[in-house]
Amino acid sequence: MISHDTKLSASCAAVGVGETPHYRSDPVDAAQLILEASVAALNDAGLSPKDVNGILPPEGYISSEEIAAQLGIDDLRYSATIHMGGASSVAALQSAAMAIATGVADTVLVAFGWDGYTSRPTAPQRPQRASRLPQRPFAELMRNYYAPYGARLAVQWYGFYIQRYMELYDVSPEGALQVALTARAHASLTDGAYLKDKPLTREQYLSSPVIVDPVRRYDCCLETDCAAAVVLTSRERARDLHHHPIIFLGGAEGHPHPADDITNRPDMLQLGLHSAAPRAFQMAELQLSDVDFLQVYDCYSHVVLLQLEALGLTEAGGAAEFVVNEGIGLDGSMPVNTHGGLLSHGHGWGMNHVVEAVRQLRHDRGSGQVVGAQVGVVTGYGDLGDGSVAIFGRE
Amino acid sequence: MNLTERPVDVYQPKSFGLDMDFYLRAAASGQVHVQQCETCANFQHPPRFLCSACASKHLNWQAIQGAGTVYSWSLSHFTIDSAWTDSLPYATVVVESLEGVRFVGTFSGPQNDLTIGLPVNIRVESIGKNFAYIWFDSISETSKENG
Repeated sequence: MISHDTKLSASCAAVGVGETPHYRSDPVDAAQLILEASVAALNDAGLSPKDVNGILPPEGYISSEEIAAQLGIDDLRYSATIHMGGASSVAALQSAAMAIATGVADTVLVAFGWDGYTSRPTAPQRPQRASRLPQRPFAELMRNYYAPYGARLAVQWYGFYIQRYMELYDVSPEGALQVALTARAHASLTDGAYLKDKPLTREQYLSSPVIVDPVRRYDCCLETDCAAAVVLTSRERARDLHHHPIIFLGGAEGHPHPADDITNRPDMLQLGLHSAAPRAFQMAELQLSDVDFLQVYDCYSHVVLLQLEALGLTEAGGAAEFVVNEGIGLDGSMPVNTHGGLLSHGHGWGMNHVVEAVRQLRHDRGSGQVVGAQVGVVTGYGDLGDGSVAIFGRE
Repeated sequence: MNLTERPVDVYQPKSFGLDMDFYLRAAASGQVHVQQCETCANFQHPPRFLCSACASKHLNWQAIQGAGTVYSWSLSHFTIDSAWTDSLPYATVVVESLEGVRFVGTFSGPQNDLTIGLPVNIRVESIGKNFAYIWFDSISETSKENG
C-alpha cells in the first residue's frame, strides 16, 4: 500500500470555484468559456492570476500555456493534462493536490469546459476543433472492432455492461428512473441549472424514447456548451482567504483492465472506480458512513447505479433498491447530485459536480443545501469506464 | 427482430499493423484467428505487441474453434451511423469464444433469443480482402438448418 497517504490528505484546499452558464444555442468557442470560468474561480477565491503557478486544462480545448498567456500567469511551474475523458476533471484534483503537497506549485487552477452542444455528434455542422481533438486512448480499437457493428456512441459501448448488469442482477428500472427524476428535482433548486424550470414527471420519463436498452432519453446527460473551474492552494494559504476552506481529504483514479477495450475485461462490471474508491477513503481515513452527499458523474442514470455500488454504498446489484427505498434526494439517506448533475444541471465534464461539492461544504446552497454537510464525495467517470474520486471536507 | 443480413454499407475500418493482420487473416481463411502466446499459451484479442498475461513478444496466430456463448449485448434504438438506420433496433453483441477471448459482432437469430450464456457459432463473412464481418449464429438454428 501507499505509505505517504497522510501527506497528500489535507495538504490543500479548494478556495475558489467558478462556472459559466450552460448554453445550447449559437456556436461557442470552448476556450473562451474555460477562461471565463477560470477568472470567475480566481475572483471567488480573491486571488489574482499572478498567484497561480499550476494549471490543469482539459484535453483538446485549450492548453495550459494558452490559459497562462491569456490570463497573464507569468510563472507557470506545473502543467499536466489528464486523458480520462469524463473522469479527467476529478482525477486532475489528485494531480493538483500532489503538486501542492510536494511544493512543486502552491496555487493550482483546474479548469474544464467544452463545446458539448456545438460539437454534439448529431450537430448539422461540427466545428473543426472537434476533428483536431487528440485521439482518445481507445479510439483506434473502437473503430476497428466496435464501429463496424453499429456501436459508435458512448451509450452503445456502455450498453455492453449496462445490459449485462441488468440481466445478471435483475435490476429494477425504478432505480434509473429515480436517478433521473431526483436530478431534475435538484436542478429546480439550483441557479444556473440548465433545466431549472423544466420539471420532469414520471409519465414524461416513461414515455421518453429508449436510446439503447434500457437507457431512455431522460437517462442521458445534457449536451451543453459550458465551463467550470476550481482553484486549489495550500491549507496554510487557504486560511488567509475569505471563503471557508474546503479541504481535499483524499483522491484517487482507477482504470479497468484493459482500459482501452470494454469487451475483454475479466469482469466487465468492474469499473475504474471500484479500485479507486477504497484508496481514496483510505487516504482520507474516512468511511462512506462519514459522508453527507455524493456528486456522481451521471453521463447515464445506469452508470450512477454502478458507481454507487463501486463506492461501497450497496452490494453489487443493490443500488436501484437503495435509490428507491433509502432515497438520494435532499431528504434521502444519501443525497446524490444535489445540483441536478449532468442530467439536469448541464454537462460540465463533472467539474460542475466539484463546484457543487465546494458550495455545499461552504453551506452556501440555499434551498438546495444538505443541512450541516461536513464531508462530500465527487466521482468522475469517463472513456471506457475510467474512474476518479475526490473527498472534500470543511476545515 | 432478426438481422440475417448486415447493412450493405457497414463501416470498414482502415486498419493497419496487427489489426490489419487480424482482418486479412480472417478474410483470407474464412476463420477468426487470434493471438496465442508461445510462452504461456494465453489467447488474446484484440491483437497486441506483447502477451497481456506474461509480456512475451512471441505471439502466434491461431484459428479459433468457432464457438462460444453470448456475454452481453447493446441494443440500439438510435444510431448516428446512417448505414444502420434501416436496421433499427439492432443488437451489437459480445461473445466469449471457447478460447476465452471475446468478440463484437452481429447475432443472426431473433433479438428476443439473446440471453447471457446462449451458445453460438462464430462465423466470418469476408468482405473483400481487407475486412471480415463477424457473425454469431444460434447453434439450435444451425442444427435445424442442417437437419
